[in-house]
Amino acid sequence: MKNKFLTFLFSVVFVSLSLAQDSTLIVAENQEAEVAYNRGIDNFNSKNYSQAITDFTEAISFKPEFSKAYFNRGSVYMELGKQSEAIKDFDLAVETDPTFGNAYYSRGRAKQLTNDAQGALADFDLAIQKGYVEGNVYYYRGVIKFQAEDYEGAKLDFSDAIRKEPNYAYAYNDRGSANRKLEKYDDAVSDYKMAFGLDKSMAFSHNNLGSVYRKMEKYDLAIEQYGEAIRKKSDYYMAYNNRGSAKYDKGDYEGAIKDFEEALKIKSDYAFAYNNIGTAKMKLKDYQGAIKAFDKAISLDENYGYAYMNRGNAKELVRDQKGACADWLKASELNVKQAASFAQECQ
Amino acid sequence: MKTSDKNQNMKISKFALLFLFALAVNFAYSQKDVEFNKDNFKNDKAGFKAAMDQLEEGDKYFEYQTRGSFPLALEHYLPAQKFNPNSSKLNYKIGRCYEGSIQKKKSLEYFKKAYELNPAVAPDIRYYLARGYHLNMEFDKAIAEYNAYKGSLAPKELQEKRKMIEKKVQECENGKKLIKDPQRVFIDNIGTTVNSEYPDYSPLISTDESMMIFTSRRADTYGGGRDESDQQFYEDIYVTYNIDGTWQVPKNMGKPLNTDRNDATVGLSPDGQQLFIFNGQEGGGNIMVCELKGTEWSKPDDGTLKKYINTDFHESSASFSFDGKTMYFTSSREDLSHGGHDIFFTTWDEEKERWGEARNLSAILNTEYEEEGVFMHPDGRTIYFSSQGHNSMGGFDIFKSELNDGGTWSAPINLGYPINTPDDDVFFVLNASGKRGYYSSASDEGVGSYDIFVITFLGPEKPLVQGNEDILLASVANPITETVIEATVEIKTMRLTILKGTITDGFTGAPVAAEIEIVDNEKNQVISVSSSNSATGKYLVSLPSGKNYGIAVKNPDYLFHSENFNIPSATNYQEITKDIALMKMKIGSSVILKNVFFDYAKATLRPESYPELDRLHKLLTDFPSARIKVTGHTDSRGSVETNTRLSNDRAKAVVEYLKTKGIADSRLQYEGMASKKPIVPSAKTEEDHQQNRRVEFEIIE
Repeated sequence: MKNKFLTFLFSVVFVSLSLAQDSTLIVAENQEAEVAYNRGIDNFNSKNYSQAITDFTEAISFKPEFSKAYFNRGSVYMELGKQSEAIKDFDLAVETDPTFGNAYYSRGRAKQLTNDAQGALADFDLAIQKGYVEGNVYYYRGVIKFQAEDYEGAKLDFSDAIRKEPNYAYAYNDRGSANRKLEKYDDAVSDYKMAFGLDKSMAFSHNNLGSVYRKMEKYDLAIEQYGEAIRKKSDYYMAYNNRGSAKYDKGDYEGAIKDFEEALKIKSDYAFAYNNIGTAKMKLKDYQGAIKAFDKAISLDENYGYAYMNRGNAKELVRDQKGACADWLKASELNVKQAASFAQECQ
Repeated sequence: MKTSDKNQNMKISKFALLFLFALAVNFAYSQKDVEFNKDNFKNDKAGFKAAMDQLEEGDKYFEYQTRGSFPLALEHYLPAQKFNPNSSKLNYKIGRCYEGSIQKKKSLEYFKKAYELNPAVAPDIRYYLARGYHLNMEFDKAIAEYNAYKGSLAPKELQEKRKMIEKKVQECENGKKLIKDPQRVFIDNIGTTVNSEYPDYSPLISTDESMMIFTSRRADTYGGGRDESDQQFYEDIYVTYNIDGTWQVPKNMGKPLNTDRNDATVGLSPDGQQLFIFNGQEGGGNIMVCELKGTEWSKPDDGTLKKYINTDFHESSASFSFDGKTMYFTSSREDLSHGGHDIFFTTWDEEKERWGEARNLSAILNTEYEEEGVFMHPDGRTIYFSSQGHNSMGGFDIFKSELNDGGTWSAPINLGYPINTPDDDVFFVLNASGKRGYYSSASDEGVGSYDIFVITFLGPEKPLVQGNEDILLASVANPITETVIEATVEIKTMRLTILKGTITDGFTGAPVAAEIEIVDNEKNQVISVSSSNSATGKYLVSLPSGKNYGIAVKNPDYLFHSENFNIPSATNYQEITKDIALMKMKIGSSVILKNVFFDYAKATLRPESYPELDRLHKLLTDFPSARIKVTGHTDSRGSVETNTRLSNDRAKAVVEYLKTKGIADSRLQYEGMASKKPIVPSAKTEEDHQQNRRVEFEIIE
């Protein structure tokens, strides 16, 4: 949630900036619309959002072609989380001013936040066509491409965002992630390092760097980065869980279990951590303990296919072939293909 | 002064005490070799006398130096050892007895002690110390001792023994590698219901594990006699049945399999209807065959094995191929051999009704060392055998090899630790699915004898999958889970289908002894002919993957029954139970011709249909007065018009074929039924439709 909030602030800061310039308009006669508009900006800045909406609406009533007023009202709606209202206003903003690049961009953002990736993508393309070539439009287009698993495309966009805005920490982080997906791990490492170099608060970039090191089988470096993530964000359960896995990969199963348990202290219903405790106990040949941990993971997430598969593997080793087969079958129903091949032995 | 003198004295006596104590400690730690000498036991003359008697009695057996005599020597040595545990000679001898019998691992502690008491107790003590470490899988120590022994040998002796010692060192090196990669198996004693306090070994199973036949030397041996060489009961053959996963109390199989001498198991056909047994009395050890007829086993006979298989040498193990047409066996014959026992094979000569000339199986499998315990899996391609050569870690290890499509054998693979050990691992059999194997191994309990163990193969380690997630996108709060999946492990199952069931009379339900003919439809070639048991009606056939099988069940009193199994080569292990009810040859009886195939949507007979049609032709010549009506049936898809025409044409094609074979037109009728008489009335699945598409015939007169 915090991240989403950050994004909002970002766009709002941008909006306020662009409005600040316009508020220097000289109020002459027959400029009721502009007066209301400027009042709206003041109210927005003092966080009187509903008053701001009233003001922009008033401005529009005086001047129905006032595209900036539509735009600002849309931005206030976005701030309030009312994306569909926002989109309607941005529609009106581009209707009244088809060259209004920022309005396309903002509509794209609103669509992105309502999971309309296609609509968002089209709007970002339009914004760029209309000459709105700020870093963030590239960045958010990159995010959509990333989510659509077009990592090459995403990487290009993140690079464009960085070109426009060389200190764009998010873009570095996300390009790092695109590189990770493209298995260009060295590039990912330098991107993540740039990201937290630019923004010291970004614990997740340390976590992501740890995960890339894990992929590179550099477990000590991974453990160090996860530790850094935890130092910056003490309740970072994901980083604890990941650090546990890095220790597991390294063969330090007791250490791994301690980290998984730390993750559970922060988030007691974290199915992954229970599953991972199970895998570490398997390696320690504590099969009964492993089964208990997998039981817990499954009780927290009954569709956790891999936990079923893992539990089946544990049951096989305690000579519970029937139980193992039932778990493998269940896992294969949950689309764990490997488990289906194990279940072949069950006939 | 006086006082000081006194002090001095006290100091001295304290010192003396300390010295004495130190001596005593020293004595306790490096024990002295205490010989069996009356001067050493002046205080217990009676005890000494008794111990000496035991020792002398033990020595009598020890002299023979045989597998049978060593345990007998032990019975006397152990009480003597109790009386005097510190004789280097006796420790050495006890070690030798253990090393030469079943509980080989126990030898180490005695060799160690003997060496400690007297490093020169025997010239070969370091060799046996090496053996002790080797058997206990302390490979590095074993290698060091083997080399020390080698270094101590005079040139002439070295020349004689170099190869043997170097082989042992190599075995230790093999062992070091093999134990690093232990196989994932459970090895369990099959339990005291089957295993006795006496040696139980050489288990054989019907491939579906419903029956086990094994050799035992227990007290109810036929005739109750004991073998002179080791004073143990004679070997007899026992059988146990598996009911709902539990092996029942074994029974002595009695006459004619068991005699008042040694009778031992050698090999069993996959369906459990044919048994090879070992006869040690004849020709230096020969193989005999017995057949299960109903509930009775036929008298062991080697009529079909004479000349080519049973020689004056030792023939000791044998296994049938899945189709019963090839036999694999081991023999110590010297011609065609690479050394020691080798594996040979022979094929059934249809004309002469006997096994043909034997050939050495392959130089890839046979070594200059011993090969024993051959077992051909019913998948028709995987052979299991024991060898002292290849990369054995000591004694016999079990290996497997696969027959490639080109007819050559793959390099043997050691089944690995803990299946194989530095001791002898031999006479291994595997069930049809490849999941469970049986063999015998020394039991750790009691004085030690062989017990039957089951090995459950778990296959390669199954991967565990961790759950992790990251915030990959800075602006998106939801973490992204990335499941790291390890490379898929290939679960290798035997590529084999076991078809089994019961053949009965369709009217009375009584078991029927019928001939089961398996045909390769594409090659139009009979693969095997076997029969169901007359007493139970049970049958079992192995169908290795990769063929279109036509199966005809025949008995002269019944109409034949046919089944079709098309099993692509990638098909994994499966077991199909198919009970078959045969219909009497009478008016109104009908048979579905499951092995008649047409081109898609046409009435052209495919050549794979000929074996089935030839069976029908034979039926009509066997019963010259019979008249039949052939009917064609389609599934319910497609128009009635097309279906009627197609089913009619297909029935006609069958009739035309029979006419070309000389069956009179007047005996043949045909009709296209379209989809009017489906087997599955409201067919939904492709399988249902498949069942409905068929050609059948009915006896009409």
